[in-house]
Amino acid sequence: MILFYSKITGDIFATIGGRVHSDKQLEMSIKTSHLSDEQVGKYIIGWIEKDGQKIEYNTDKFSLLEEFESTSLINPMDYKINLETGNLEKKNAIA
Amino acid sequence: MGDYGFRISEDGYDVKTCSDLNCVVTSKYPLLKGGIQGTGNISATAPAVGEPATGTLTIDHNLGYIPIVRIFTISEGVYYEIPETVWGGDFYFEIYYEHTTNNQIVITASSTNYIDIAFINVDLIYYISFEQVNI
Repeated sequence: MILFYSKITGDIFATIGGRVHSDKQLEMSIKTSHLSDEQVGKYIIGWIEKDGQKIEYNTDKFSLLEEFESTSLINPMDYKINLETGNLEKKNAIA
Repeated sequence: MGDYGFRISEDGYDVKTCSDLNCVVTSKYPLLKGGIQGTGNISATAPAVGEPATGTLTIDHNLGYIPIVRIFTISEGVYYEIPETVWGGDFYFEIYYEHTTNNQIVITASSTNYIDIAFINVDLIYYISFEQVNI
């Protein structure tokens, strides 16, 4: 899953689903009307496929990815990126 | 090339003679090769009472053709396909719509309130179907 977040607030505003991402998917981007391209960050959970190899990204968050993919009401938008540490955290966990 | 392919008919129809409409599957027409799905959020606040709160979410898909797209707003676990309008009496309404080009999908959400400052905070889910493999 590719999470798109604001580099100003850390808020996640969009996702691309999936576990293994191709170059074509990585070329896709999502933006909102109140952020410029430079203000949008990407956080990947899973793998990217490059030159026939799978490169791992944040697989320690894999159980959370499974929750995001499930039909439960756990929503990626309830999480944000801690801009100091770069970690994905639940919104109310960030002071 | 000869006339070849495969088809599976619905229960009760002869697969050799039935119409395409009575087939569960037919290789006569191109099939969608795959797709991608994701989620998004649009939030915005109006500058003043009576003025719209409008926000957009733009997906740069860069496919080079217009894909088949379905987008839903999510409210309390229920999905509503856009375009969608929501009316609240005579003083409030919301509208959701999208337009798609060869390279982008732009989703717009707008709310207007004539007695209070309008705001939008809507979660979305989108499905993009591809015509080509290796995506």
